Amino acid sequence: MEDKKKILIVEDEAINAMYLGRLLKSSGYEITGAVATGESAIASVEENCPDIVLMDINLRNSIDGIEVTKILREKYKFPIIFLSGYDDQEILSRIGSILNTWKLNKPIVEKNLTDLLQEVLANHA
Amino acid sequence: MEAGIVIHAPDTSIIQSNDRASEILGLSHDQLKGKIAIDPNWKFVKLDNSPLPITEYPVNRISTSKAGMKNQLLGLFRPDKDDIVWVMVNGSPLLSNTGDIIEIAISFVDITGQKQIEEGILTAQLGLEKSQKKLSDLNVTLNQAQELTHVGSWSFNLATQKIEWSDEMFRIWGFDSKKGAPDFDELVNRIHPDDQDLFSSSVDKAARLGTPYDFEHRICLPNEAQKVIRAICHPILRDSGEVVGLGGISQDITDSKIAEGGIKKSLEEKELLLRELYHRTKNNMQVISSMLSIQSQYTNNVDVKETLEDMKSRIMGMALVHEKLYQAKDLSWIDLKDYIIDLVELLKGSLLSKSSNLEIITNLENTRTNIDTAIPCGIIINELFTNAIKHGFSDNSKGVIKISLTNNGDEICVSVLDNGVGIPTGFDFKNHDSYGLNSIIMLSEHQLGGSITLNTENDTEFILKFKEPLNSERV
Repeated sequence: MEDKKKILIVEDEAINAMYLGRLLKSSGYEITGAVATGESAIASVEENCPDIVLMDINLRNSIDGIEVTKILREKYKFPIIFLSGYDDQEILSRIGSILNTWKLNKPIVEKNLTDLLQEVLANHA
Repeated sequence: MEAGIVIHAPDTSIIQSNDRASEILGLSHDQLKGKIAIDPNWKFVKLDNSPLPITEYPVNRISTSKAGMKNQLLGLFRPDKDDIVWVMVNGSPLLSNTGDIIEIAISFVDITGQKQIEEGILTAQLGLEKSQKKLSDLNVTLNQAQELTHVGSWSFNLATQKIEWSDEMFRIWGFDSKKGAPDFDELVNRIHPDDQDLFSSSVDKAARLGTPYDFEHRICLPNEAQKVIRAICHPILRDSGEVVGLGGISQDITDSKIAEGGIKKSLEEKELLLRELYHRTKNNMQVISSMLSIQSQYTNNVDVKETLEDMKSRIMGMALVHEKLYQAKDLSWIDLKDYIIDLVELLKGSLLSKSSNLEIITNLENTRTNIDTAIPCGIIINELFTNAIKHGFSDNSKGVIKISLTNNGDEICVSVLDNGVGIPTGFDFKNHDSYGLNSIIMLSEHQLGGSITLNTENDTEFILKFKEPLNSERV
């Protein structure tokens, strides 16, 4: 049996993190952690080596998800899916320069998330 | 100029006169002969038109003093002509060896014309003085007005290269008025370096081409204070279009700029707060939606799961309005068309499977609405669309759901049509006891003040009509 793909959830809203965790577990993924800040995201990646990261962009009391991704990119190439409420032009241009990243708009449509995860993990992980 | 000459006897009576004397005095030689100084018919007047005392009559003065007199100016009233003739009088006595008067010779020339000219000059001088005084008063008033309004005026004569500044110009630009207006280079040096090119090129265009200007620039004073100036210039042109001079004002608008900046900052802060409020409201609704999803995962009861999913969908529809408002330029109005497109995408994602054979068609016109309209409208479309999918089509059946939005400027019309199995004949949707249909009716009629009707002639079509209330600004 194929190993479960490992996902790290970076989301500062606890209920949203909990919802994503349960949804993805029920879809057959392993959740390596659900963290609320950039610093704990970097620590969790070092410790658990996820296959992919779901990254909220706005994180309270922390550097934002795009900055966290830039730091991670210095060492890791795994795909990262940004979760953001708005198609802000500034955000899009900041994301555009980072390789192997995708963006999914909130509110998350479950099917869109699971479809995208499947596609990215199959072809870009 | 011929003089009139009259010879008086020692008793002042006239004994001889020449023709010119007769002409000037308006009396014949016969009439003159024997006339004495105290004759009541003589009426001499001074320059100010007051009567000349008899003792000051030329002949009387000579008679009394026994000495000559020179250049006495007086007027002589001529009763027959009813006018005054002005004369300059000279006279001298002819004395005997004993010093007694033998006779007195009086000569006089008519200076009436000359006096009239002098009077004219005098009147003109008085008028000029009055005008100068008035001009000076006006200048004081103008200076006071310029000081109060912080507007200085200036003029420049191209031919003479002469520059004139009002007092307020010196105050605004911080130059010493005693030294006179500064030259162009001094002026430019006082302007903020970033604004110097604009200033120089504008003045150049005004002087060469007669192009007026009106712009704002900064000046840097010797005490390092900075001012914002509104500069206006109107070139003075000949009929031929040639520029002969420039005239303009410098207005110190520093205070109003500071006030304007404060208001702008305050507005920006309020806008930021409002945007943040929409953002947080949307986020909170997403959290509620996540809670419902999680709760749904804890139950195996299909009805409960469906109810929770329906509630989640309604809340996400409302959250979408806040997202649209957050993105709206004026934070107040959203386009119902854009909102419905996103709402339908959201509903398709949560309600339709990958293998769905349903075709969703939207035909939407741009319709500006505020939050009070968009939210109930979104909930209604959500219910109708969800009902059409759930009840109109069995799994994988083919079909069409069409959502239309029209706006004739007066009335907004939303239609949700499906060609599914249809509604049973005689179905009274207004008296059917379900949350979804009851909420549609309440929101349509109670909240939007419109109507909702069902048309089942061919397909199943719900038609919502309402008016966007006027003056419904919320923010």
